[in-house]
Amino acid sequence: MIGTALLNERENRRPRRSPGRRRPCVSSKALISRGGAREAIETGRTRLLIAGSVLLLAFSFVGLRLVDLTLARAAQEPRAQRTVSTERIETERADVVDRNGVILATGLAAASLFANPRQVIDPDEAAELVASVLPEANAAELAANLRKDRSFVWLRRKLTPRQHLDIHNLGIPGLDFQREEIRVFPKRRLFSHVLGYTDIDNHGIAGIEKFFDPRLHGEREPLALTLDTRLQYIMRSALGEAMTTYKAIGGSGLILNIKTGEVLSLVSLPDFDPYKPGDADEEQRRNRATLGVYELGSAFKVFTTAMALDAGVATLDGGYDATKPIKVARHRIRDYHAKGRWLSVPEIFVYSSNVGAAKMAMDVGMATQRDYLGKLGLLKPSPVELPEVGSPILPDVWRPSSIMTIAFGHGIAVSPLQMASAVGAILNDGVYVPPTLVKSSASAPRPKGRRVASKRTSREMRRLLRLVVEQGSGRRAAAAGYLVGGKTGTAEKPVNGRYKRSAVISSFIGAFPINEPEYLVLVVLDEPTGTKETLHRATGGWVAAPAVRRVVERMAPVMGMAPIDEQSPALQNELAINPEPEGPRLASF
Amino acid sequence: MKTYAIVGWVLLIIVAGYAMLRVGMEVEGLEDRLSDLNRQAMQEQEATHVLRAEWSYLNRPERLSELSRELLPNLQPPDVDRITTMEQLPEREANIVLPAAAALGKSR
Repeated sequence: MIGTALLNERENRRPRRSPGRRRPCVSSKALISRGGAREAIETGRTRLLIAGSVLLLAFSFVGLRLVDLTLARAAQEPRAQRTVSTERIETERADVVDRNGVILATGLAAASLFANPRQVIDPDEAAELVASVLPEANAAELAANLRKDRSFVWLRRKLTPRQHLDIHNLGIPGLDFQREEIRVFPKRRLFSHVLGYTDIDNHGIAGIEKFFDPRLHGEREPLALTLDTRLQYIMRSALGEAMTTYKAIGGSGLILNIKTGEVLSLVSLPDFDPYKPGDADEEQRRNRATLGVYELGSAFKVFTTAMALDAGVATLDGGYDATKPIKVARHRIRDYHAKGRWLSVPEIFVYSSNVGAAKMAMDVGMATQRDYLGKLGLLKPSPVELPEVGSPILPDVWRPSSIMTIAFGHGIAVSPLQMASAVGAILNDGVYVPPTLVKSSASAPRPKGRRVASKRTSREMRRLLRLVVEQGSGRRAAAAGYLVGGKTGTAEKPVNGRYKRSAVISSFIGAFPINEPEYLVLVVLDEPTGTKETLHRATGGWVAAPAVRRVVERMAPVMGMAPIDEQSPALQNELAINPEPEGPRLASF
Repeated sequence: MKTYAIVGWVLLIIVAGYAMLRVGMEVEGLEDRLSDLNRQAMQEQEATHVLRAEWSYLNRPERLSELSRELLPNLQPPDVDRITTMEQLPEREANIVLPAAAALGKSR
């Protein structure tokens, strides 16, 4: 530009800024000319002005931006970042609580140790140091991990607070901690089968933890179960005592509220440590109350009798000839304490006559029997909220022999929970309510039950169950003041396709107060052995009934139930039944 | 006159600027305190959470029954005979003299 201006000067003394005519050459003579100098200064001033205003504009922009950043905006942005939220602490998984809000499972913060092997200076030394703090760690293994060509490797998940501090104090570069959550089961083994457990990444892999995995992950509200810690303990200790006394290999216990279907206690023994499920064997991990299916024997006579009364093929005054055993196909059905005479329906129930029950079932017929058991939920897996639910084992083809054996609880295997719900339905005015482990709320009310049996049948069955405890095989379940009614069951276990006399499943299913039953208690013992006190008998009435009595005696005060006068005329009248005109002298089996 | 006005304005701007700075600093200080308190609240919440889990652990029924056996040897689970209703309690007789009342009467 300079060159152009000076060249034009000579010709018309007027500056002309035309970039097209620019020449790169500057003549020294032109600079000396006076008029040219003034022009140059003038031009310089103009340019200075332009440059100055551009700079001013730029600086005022910077200034404004500074004000904007410091006063207008900066005060807001970090505020949101710096202020720690005071909302409830974040947990990865929601708590599980019992019906009274007692914590059964929760998450606690724990530090996990990881390393960036690329930043570790001396893997061997680091491994040695870490191993000196962690008792179970293997230095060689750690060193191998630290030598890997990766930028992330777990060294130990979920440290204790002390280990965390110790490793922190070692100050090894390249090692760091990640905050994780550890699942804690404060009641230890008491709920191991119901709650289940989680894997190291906090995914539920058994029990409630598995069934409600998405719910526990997604929601914050604690999951309230129907279980009651106190009752769970009462059941577990009574069952454990019975198992030890009678050297049973396993057992399960259930307490059910038959009006609502709520499971108040669910115990399976032997159990396992929820922190070390891997150390437990198959038998320990198996939930015998829901996953295990068993032929439960005479307790099935509850259903046989109820369906016969309901269908009208039998009445409490009627009876059957039980003089001789029945032969059907390859089977021979006989009574353990054969009376060798005609038996009334109450007698069949109280003496637990297989012959009588089989004849009653034949009168009812195949279709009705199947339909009835189906309505009681015995032909399908229990709808309870657990992943470990066993499918019942049913006869492939429903033959006459099946009808007869099912009548007294053989040839059909169901889980103790199915059994409890079904008996509960018979006693609950004949209304089946599906069992549940989750406390209902206003948003999720309990489903209505479905009618299975008539009210009248239900009342008659209550009387029969009371009779069993008053005079029959269930005497040892009589908890004074709580009016228990129930039925014993003893079934030989099939071993290699044959029934083994020495290995039995003994059970007792009881409900109280039987005039208006509210709670149902079931105890099942697997392969109990009789003792001197039981005259070496291991039947349900001898080994399982006393456990039920202990549970009832201890749970009734907890539930706030006052003892009632069992001898009051009103009650006697309500439950009156005449089993045998000559006066009862009943066998115990 | 004009000079005074300018000086006055400049002074006003300086004072206002200082006041704003002070307020800004104060707000910053309060914000720090708030976040400190919030952090503390979080820590307390976490401590409560741990304590709740611990409470549940210490209240294991088997532990409680063991402790009660050990420390309260005269207590036992209630049996049916020990439970009664208010109606079944006998009425207290009017002329009965309680031992404590008798002792008081003598000393007077």
